[in-house]
Amino acid sequence: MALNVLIVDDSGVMRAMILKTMKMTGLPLGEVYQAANGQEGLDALGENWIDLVVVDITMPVMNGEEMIDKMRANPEFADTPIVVISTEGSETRIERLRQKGARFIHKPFTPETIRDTIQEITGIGDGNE
Amino acid sequence: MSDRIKTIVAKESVQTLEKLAFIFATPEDEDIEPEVGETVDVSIRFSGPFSGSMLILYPEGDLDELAANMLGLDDEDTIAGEQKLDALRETINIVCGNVLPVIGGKEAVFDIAAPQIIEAPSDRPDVAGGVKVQLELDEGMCFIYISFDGEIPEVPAQ
Repeated sequence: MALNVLIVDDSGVMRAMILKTMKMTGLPLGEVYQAANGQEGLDALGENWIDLVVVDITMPVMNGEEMIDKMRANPEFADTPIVVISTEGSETRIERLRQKGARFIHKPFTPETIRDTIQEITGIGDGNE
Repeated sequence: MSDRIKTIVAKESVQTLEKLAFIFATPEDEDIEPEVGETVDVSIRFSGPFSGSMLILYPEGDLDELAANMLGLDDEDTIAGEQKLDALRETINIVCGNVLPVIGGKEAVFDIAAPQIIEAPSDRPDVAGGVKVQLELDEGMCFIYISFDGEIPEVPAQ
């Protein structure tokens, strides 16, 4: 099974880095969509079949936490796996994101962290897919 | 206290550059003044238990390598000017995001504003009274400043 992935980050360079890293890890990628803020991310979710959302927190227009809240409030996306990749360092905020069902990866990240986290949250590549 | 913060900023900056872009930086203790026109400048505001600004003066000659390595580009690939600035904005965002929890503690909640590229030295935030770190890169010196709106905060024991 190939994963359709949505990468949401206001930095084009960071979106490219995340995509490059995901390709390096050998994860089976299908279509990859990109968005520069939470609202664009929600629009992309509404228009495409997406298996995994990778999202930053601090973004203009709509931040990542608000996007996650809107996804969780919509039955269509309530169970979509979410990985937050952010510079956020506050355990208080990170725990709040975890309680919303998101996994957290701290920037700067390693390919192994990306691979392991996505494998855990999707079951892809661990023999259970 | 400023020595402790200087150590934290230097350590987190070196680690960020290495992990983010495979750039190996060496802290320089001898005080050097930045040359006008030789750096690209970016700043970021933060607020929370304490507030202030971080400013990075990044050597222009090293900016191509920063962006290319972050993007995974080859030497012959062309890098757009906006990509270089985006790479620098993301770098200060990550440095600042890693420094603040070390200074303020892991439970502290900070809001970090969007990084701003500074067009002219006169537009730089006032970092007088703050902490300055210098990192030697391949082509020049990178200057990193962190300043606080009030007194320099106490750093919790690690």
